[in-house]
Parts: sequence; structure tokens; C-alpha cells
Amino acid sequence: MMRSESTANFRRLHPIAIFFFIFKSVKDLLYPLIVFLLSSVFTGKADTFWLIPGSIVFVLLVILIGWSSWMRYQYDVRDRVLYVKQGIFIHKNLSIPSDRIQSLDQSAGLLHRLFGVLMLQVETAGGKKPEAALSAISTREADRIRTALFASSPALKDAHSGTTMIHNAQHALKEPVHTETGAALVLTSRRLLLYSATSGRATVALAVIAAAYSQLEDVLERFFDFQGTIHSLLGSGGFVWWIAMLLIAAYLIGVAVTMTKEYKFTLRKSEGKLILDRGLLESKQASFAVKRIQALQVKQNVLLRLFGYINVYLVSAGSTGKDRQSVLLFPILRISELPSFLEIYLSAAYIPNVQMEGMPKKAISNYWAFPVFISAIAAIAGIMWVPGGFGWFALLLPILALVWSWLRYKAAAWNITGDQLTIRSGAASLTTTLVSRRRIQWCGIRTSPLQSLKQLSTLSLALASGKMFIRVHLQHAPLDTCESLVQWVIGKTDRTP
Amino acid sequence: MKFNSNGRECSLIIRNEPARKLDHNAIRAWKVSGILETAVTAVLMAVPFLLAFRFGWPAWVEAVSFLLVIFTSVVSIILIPRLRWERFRYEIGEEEIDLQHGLLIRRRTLIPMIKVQHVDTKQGPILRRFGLAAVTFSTAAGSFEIPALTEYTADRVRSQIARLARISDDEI
Repeated sequence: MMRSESTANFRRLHPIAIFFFIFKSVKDLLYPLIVFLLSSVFTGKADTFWLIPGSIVFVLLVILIGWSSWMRYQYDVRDRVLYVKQGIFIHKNLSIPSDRIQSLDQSAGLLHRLFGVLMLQVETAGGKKPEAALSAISTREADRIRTALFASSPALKDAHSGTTMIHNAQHALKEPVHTETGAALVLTSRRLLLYSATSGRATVALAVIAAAYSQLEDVLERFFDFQGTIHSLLGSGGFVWWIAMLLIAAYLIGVAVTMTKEYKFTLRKSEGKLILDRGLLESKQASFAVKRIQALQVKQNVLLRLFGYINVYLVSAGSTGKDRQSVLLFPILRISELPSFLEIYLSAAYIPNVQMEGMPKKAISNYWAFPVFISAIAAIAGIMWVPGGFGWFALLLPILALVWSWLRYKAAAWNITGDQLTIRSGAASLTTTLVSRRRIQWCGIRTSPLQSLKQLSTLSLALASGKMFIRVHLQHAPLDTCESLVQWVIGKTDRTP
Repeated sequence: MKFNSNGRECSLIIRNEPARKLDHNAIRAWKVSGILETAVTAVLMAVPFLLAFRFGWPAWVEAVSFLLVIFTSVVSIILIPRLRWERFRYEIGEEEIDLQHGLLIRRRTLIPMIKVQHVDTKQGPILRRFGLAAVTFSTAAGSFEIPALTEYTADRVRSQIARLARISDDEI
């Protein structure tokens, strides 16, 4: 290795990377800096005299560290191996052979796009976080690296066309460009709106605004008669309107954020990989090896169910997947479009829309037993302690619990078709998991005392997701069914249950 | 025809619940760890107990801390070790590993042999004193443990699983 290093042609990252290294060293030093500042303030040794020179020293320090990091970061590709040298004090030498590389993800934030560079992240099968990250290289350089690593495998090399997408995305605001390399599915603006309007992000924004509002109100009160102003502006019912406007604003912000994030969501298949591109301000690309796909999840919230649309998610192992969740494969499809979608992008590996078998009637009481019990206690507590007779509203809780439990009972279902197990769960929103027998890591049957009275059990399946796993459950199913399903997973019987 | 504990007829192999038990010494080993646990709780509870005594806090503080210690000792020394030993069963099949455990809620876990990625034996100081060891194995989705077998059995089981598990590189 030392011998070949002398003939090596190590390159540095694009100079713009210095900014990213500086930013990183600021982040790294920020915490100790804050600790230092706080301790000196508390011990009374603080002196505003030191503030100016101190900040100057800090700024010089981060610039120095940033620049040195950039100087020390060098990479080269030789014999289909990526070599990286980095580190100021601790020298790290990495060598990553191309066949260990699971994916090369490239992304470009605003700053990257301004200078025509991108960030290349190398992920290996080991499942650790990106083994190497080249924070700023030109698109030409990225192509060169790809070619040098994957000269004879068109699969990963083809993904370079993602570069074209990123380039073109710079003009996205002027006119949409479709770069077709193989069948590409682009999310239309109408569906983007539908997805953004129904996605969870809007509700998160709501929660955040609600939390922030309580703090904000106190502050505002101090400066002027906030409540009085609202009162005069909007009349005596004004406060209610104010809250309503706030909630609507939060929702709209959530929608806008989602629309920017998933703008021009494009799915392409390129020999053994599924490649996703999306984003308006920051264009992100992610690729998934088809071999690593563990299962498909079809999700529907209440609104989507009403209109007959679905979200499609992927459960993927390795570092490309998310640890305890599935990854969004495509935001919105019509239920009727799913079969052809699966045929094109997943080589018909999954069979959708099968006839599901539900849970037996005797399981209903198992579904509502615990939730109603808990909500009944909460209701009693509410009636006893909530003043003004509003406590009686707490009676709604057990009723809601009952309805929710009944919905869960109706949602729970399963099906076995060939090698595929389909399990559905949920309440108002539904999640249907389609998994092939051989992708199930292990399965469990769990029986509580209440369940054993009725010969019911809960079946759980574990699927590898990211570096961790997710579990899919079929609750309160007949013990017979659970045992037969487990038998089917292990593969000891030739007849399906 | 085989019958399972519900007395129902079945011909599927899975109906045979796993039969192998852990080594009987596991009970003693767990009693020892139970004693340690109680000791820790006692030390922790000594703080409020002494404070209550010193500062004249209401009597229930002392009572609660005392009762907690008693409760922990009874549960972890007397109840749990025997129950755990009773309930834990395992079976190493050609195609799968079958584990059954759980005190109040019965749990049965089946791991297809082909999903086992590696298998080890593990031995803490308490288990070592009783000549016991645990067999641990893991899949891409979590690890499992057969908690207390004799060192000889643990080694044998480990070899058995290692032999039966076919580890393939390219597919998870």
C-alpha cells in the first residue's frame, strides 16, 4: 500500500469544501465553547474585555481547522478501490473496494448548486453510516470516480444520470425538465399537492406552532395589550378566529414545506437499483438495491382512503434504509395503478390487492378490553376532578376508545398467496405490509392470559430495516392461524393455511 | 397424532412446543443475582429511609422504602428464578430455533436457521460460578439468548447452531 501511494494521484476536494469543514468544526467546537462561556460567566471570571479577542481567536481557530481539514482530505481511485486520507491529528486511511460499495449517493444543497458541485456519500454493505463522504466535488469528478470504480458494471454507473437531474433542477423553476433514463415516474404537481395536504408533516407543524404559541403569547402580552388588540380587531369571538387562523397557517406551512421537499419526486429503475430524486431547494437522491428490499408497505390515511389513493413505502435493509421505519418509495398512486407500478419497478415481485382474511368475531372483545378500561378510568377521573361540569365530556373517551378498537378489529387481516404474506393493520389509517417468506427474519407468537381464554394470540414478524428492524403484528388472531403462519414461514408444510 | 397443552389434535410439527429446559442450576444462579438486585435496591432505599428518620418525614416514606425492599427480595429471589426456569424452553431444529418463555404472557419465538448470522456463548461472573453459560445468536433483526446451560451443553448447542445455520453473503 505504501509502495503504490508514491505513484498515487491523490486529489483534494473542491475548495468550496473549506466552508463545509469550517461549518463542521464550528459545530464540533460549539458545545465546548458554550460550556466554557457558561462556566466563566458563573465563576464570575467573565470580563467583556475578553469578548472581542476571544471571538477573534475562535473564528481564526475554526478557519484554521477548516482549512487544515480540507488540506488533509485527499482521495484517489486506483484498481477499482477508493482510497481516502483524512484527519489532522488522527490520520485515517480508508480503502473501500468497489464491490463493498452498496451505493454512491449524491446530493446538492443550495451552496453546492451555486458552485456547481455536489456531495458524494459512499455507503457499504456493513450498514454503518456513510463510510466516506466527499463533501464537495465537481460533477465531472463525480462521474470520473463512478467510472473508475464501476467501469464494468453498468448498474451503478448508470446512476450518474442523476447528475443530469441535479443540473437540470437548477432550471427547475423556469421549466420542468424530464430526463428519461429507463422508465421514470415523476410525481405530478396535482398529486404533490394531494400528498402534501394529507401528509403528517402538516400536523407536526401544528404541534410545533401550538407549543410555540403559548410561549409567544406571554412575550407579546408584555409588550402591548395583545388580547385587547385582538378583541378590537376581530370582535368578541375574535380569539377563536385568531386560534383558527393560527392553526390554518400552521397547516399551510406544513403543506408548503412538504411540497418543497418532495418537489418533482422521480422514481427510476436502473438495473438492480431503484433511484429516487426529489426536492426544490435541496435536491436529494437516494438509491436502493433491489436485492436489499425486505418488504413493501402500502399506507393510507383517512383522506387517502376516501379518494382511493395510497402511499407506497419500502422496507430496506442496510444503511440505505431507515432504522425503524419504512422509506417512502412513491408518494401518491391510485390503488388501481399499483399492479402496473409493481410490475415495472419491482419486477412484479409483490402481488397487491389480494383477498384479505379478517379476525374472528370473538376477538372483538380483546380489541376493546384494554383501551376501554383505560379510558374508563380516565373518564371517571375527569368526571370527578374536572370542574364546571365539563368533566362529563370525558365520557366521550370510552366511546372513542370503543370506536377506535372496532376500527382496529376491522383493519386486522392477512393473506398468503404463493410465497408472499400480506398483513394489514391500523385503525382509521391502514398499513398493509407485503413480504416474501424468505425475508422474514423471525416470528413470534404472544399469548396473554385474556387471549388464551379464547385461543387467540398475537403474531409478530420481524423485518430488517436499516441497521435495526421493524415488527409487523397481527393482533388477536386465532392460535391456529398463528401457528400455521409460523409453520409456513419456517417452511415445513406444503399446504397453505 | 400429537396433542399440545390445549389438548387439541394436530399434525403440524409446529404444534409440538419446545421441550428442552435450562440447566437446573440456573435457579440458584438467578437467586444470586436476585440477592444482588435486592442489595442494590436496599442501598437505594436506605437514602429516603434514613432521611425520613433524620428529618422526621411522614412515616409512610419509611414504610414504602422498606416495603419496596421486601417486595424486590421476594420477587427476585423467591418467585422469579423458579418460574423463569419452569417457563423457558428451547429446541434446536434442522430448520429453525424454537424458544418459549414469558411469565405472565407466554411468548414463543421461531427463528429460521438460515437467518442466524452468528452464534456465541456468553458467561458473566455469576453464571461462571455455577458452571453455566448463555448461548447468544443474532439475526439481521435482533439477537436472542438461551440464558443458562451447562458449559458443556452451551458449547454443544453453539456448535450445533453454527453447523445448521448457513450464512449467505449476498442476501439478508
